[in-house]
Amino acid sequence: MSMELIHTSVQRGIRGDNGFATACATRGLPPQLESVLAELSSYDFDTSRSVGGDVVEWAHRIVKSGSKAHTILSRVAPCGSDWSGRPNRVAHHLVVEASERAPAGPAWALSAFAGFATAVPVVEERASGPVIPSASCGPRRPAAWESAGFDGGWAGIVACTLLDHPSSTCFVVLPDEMDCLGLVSDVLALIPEERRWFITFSTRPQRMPASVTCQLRFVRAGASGINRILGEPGARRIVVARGQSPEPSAAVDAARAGETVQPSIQRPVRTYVAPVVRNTPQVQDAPPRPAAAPPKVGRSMQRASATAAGTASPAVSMSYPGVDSSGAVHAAPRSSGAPIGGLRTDIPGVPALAWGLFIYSAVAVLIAFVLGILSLL
Amino acid sequence: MPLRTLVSSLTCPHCWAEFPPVQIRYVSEHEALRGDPILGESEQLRFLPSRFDARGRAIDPLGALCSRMACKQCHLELPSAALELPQTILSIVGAPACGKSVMLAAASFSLRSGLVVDGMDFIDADPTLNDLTLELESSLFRSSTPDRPTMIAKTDLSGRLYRSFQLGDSQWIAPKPQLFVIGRRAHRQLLCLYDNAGEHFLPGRDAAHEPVTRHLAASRALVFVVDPTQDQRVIDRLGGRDAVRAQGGAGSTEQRQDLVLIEAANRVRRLRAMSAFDPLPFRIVLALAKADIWGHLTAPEIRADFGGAAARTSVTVPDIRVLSAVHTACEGFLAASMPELLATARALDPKFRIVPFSGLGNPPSRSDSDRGLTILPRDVRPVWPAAPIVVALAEANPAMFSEYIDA
Repeated sequence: MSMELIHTSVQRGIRGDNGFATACATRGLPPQLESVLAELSSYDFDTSRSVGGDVVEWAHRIVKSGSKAHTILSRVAPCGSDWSGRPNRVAHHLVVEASERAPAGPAWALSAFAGFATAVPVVEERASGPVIPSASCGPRRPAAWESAGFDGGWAGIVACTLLDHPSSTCFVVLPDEMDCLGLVSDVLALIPEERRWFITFSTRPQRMPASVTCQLRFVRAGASGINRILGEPGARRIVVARGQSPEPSAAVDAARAGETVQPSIQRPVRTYVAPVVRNTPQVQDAPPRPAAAPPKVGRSMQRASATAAGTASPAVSMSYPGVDSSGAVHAAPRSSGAPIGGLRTDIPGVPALAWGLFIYSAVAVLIAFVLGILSLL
Repeated sequence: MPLRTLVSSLTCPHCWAEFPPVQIRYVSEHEALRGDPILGESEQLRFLPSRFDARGRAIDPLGALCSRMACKQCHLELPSAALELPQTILSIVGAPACGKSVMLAAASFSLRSGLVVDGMDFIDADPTLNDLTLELESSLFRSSTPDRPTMIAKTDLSGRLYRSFQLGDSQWIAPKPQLFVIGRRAHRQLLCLYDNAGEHFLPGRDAAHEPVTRHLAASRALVFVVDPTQDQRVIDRLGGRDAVRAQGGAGSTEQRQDLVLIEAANRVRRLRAMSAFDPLPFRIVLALAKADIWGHLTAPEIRADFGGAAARTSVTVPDIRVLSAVHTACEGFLAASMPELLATARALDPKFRIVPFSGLGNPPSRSDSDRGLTILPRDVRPVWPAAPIVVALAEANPAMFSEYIDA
């Protein structure tokens, strides 16, 4: 079941502390996760200092706590003044289980969830978590981008970048502060449903702990210190401007037409084949191959050669354990096993080239040794 | 090449690691050296230099000249003054909403003016590292819109006020130090201050991976900020909660401030491996905040021209005669209104000092809509804002401020 945490400035939180504290939490929330969520609750009120693209921080992040990764949906926003008369903020985090992830994506779930705290709530520990809305939605025209004055093709550029570079931070630089949740919803609608919950984002990013993943970040052009943030190595930067159209591409056309955006970079063909070190049924049925001439090597090498001797059949190649289930194209298995200098070279993890080098260097050392002896004589 | 005299050992103001200057790391300058194993991918590589140019500047592995230095352990940046000047860490402690940030902003702003103490220099060790104080100052004292109501935001528990770094397998969070070079007569020091959130000092909030109050282990004086308007007895004497809130006081009584002081003292003893019966290794200065609200409750009344000795300005620290008289007046006030706090301070440090101050000078107004406190920057007139810090400095470095030591 889902869990939630509301962090704000209260006179007395549920743990007995005052000031910024946990005002509301689901019973059973792990303490370690609670401290990370508290760390994600900060809000910078200074508009000249913050770099965020939205006044409200809407975020979908993956938080590693202990040995588990949690999907977190967050809303952090100002909420008037606190008990001491100073500006207050309220941060509401939802911990979403895998079964509760709406196919429509995290941005849709954030916009559809009506229970976000917008003011200081009643301090309480709740017995159960909130109900996360669920629905599916297909690709659509990026209406929020168009109503904000942007070319809808930019949504396709963002979607394509997220798909092409899943491990890179992607900054979307907006000309001014605006409602970014609609922009994210449009981008995620263009992404295949099974990929949407892999996209993490924040509309008002701040310093984040290392245990938190946040891929897509909306920032504001002209904010102080923005160049330093955008200079992060490996980060992708998409500068969006009103009245400007992106370069034509398949992603741009797909976004304008309201169709699913496909990645522009094909994943590289995986050529590595994990060696098989155990017999498969096909191999057991096949007649045993004659063993190669016994080499003058140690016992362990003989054992390895014997193990590998029956596995070089092409019939075995398609049942290698390295083949993944994603349908990725694999190269044909390397025809290893050809004897080099009388030794079988299909010992797991030792390529034929290494064997060749080893044998030739051994011969060279032997010749040098003999020559040395002769020169001494 | 000019000679530089280095200190024998320096304490990192971020992680409080002690190491000799020879082990200091340099921050690489070459763009290709982005990414540091401790600070992450967005920071330049820190390295122990082995090549220097003729002027003694380090050369990074890709040949760029480097001048910025960093801690050996946490790799966070240090000002070059840390290598040459002895360091004085002052811990500013207090319950939430007691006025620590306002005191820090008002004190640093007034100390820059040179009017606080005769002959005292006060400059930023590195303005890029002191962005927090500069921002606090500019929102209240250097505002470009002096007729627009403003207020310092509540200090958050995370975010831009803190820095994180990786030590071993764990992520550590440290508060951002504010570093100043202070000089007087023949003495120069590196002053290190922290703006912690009050929540960090509450009992039970000292976490191993969040050593945000570990400066207590290295500090040379403790400034404990007290907000009398958070005590019910003071509130009653001031006419009730609504009256206090109308004047800009907290009006909340949820937090017992004496417990925060005990917790701070316990952390000092724990971090320094001291016995429970050992006296604290430094002086406690009780800084009574918001004196403009409760100052008339003391006998005699506390004002900027207290004792008839009108200072040049309201930010000037009064002489020891006035400070002693104020101490006595405040002691009487605390004995009548907050006796447990007075007894706690006396038990922890029999020679504690009491210094009142007002960071704003005038009461902020409370808006009708959301009950938020605001003040016009042109109305800000702090009274003795730096006095608690100067008294604490005098206790830590008697030779530097000998006239503020009570004989």
